[in-house]
Amino acid sequence: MIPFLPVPDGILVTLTPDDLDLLNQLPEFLGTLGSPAEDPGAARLHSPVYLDDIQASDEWWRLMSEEFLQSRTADRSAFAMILESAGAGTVASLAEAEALLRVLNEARLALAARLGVREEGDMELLDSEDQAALDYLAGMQQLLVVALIGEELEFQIDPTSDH
Amino acid sequence: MVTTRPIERPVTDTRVEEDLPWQVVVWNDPVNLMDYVVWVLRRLFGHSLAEATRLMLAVHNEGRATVNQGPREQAEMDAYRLHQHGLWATIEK
Repeated sequence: MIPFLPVPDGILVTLTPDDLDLLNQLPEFLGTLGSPAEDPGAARLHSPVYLDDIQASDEWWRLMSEEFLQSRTADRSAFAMILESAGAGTVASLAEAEALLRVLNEARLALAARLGVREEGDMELLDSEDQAALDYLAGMQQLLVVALIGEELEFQIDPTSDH
Repeated sequence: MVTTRPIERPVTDTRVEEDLPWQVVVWNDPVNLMDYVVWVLRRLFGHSLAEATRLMLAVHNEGRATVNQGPREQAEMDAYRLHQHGLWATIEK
């Protein structure tokens, strides 16, 4: 079964029961993120924007916090909505598929940070179960990226163009 | 090889510094997927596949790459969109 397939209206999402069991845990996992000062997962999603000016960085995050909250909440809602009907197969619009992709990535980043992945090579130091979880999410994310690129190549090329 | 040339005085005109555009920099991290980074750079900045791939490889191999530049407000919005997609972006002159 191909989980993500480009179709004219977006991306056909078809997930197995095992996929659904795992992916349905992501919004709840992301909901457990604490404050960036105490939670490496939250800190990874709250990286400094001005490296040489902590005050400016903090101010940027303060000003943008509402935007991030709304954006991430909307992404997780879209993610949950798609998963509700993905067992039988459902077509996600491009915007919904991109939300799905962002949630997959957000979860990978937060999980890896909580597991202590900070540099190249840290992944190999994880125990096999943690590595498997990150590899699974990476695989799903890669398949969705490929589907989005395929959608762009197959369905968004202007047929009147010479290129 | 040694060459002789007049000593150049450093430029100290602060107006030049003020006029410099803000750079939007993406940093390497061990988790983001290469293809995902390429997709994000194309999606957000409209880069060609070749340019987005070049930037992604610069991030991967050199640790960082400037992906866009412009006025501060635009750079801050770019940083927001990159963070929204999970890339670590910073802003600098």
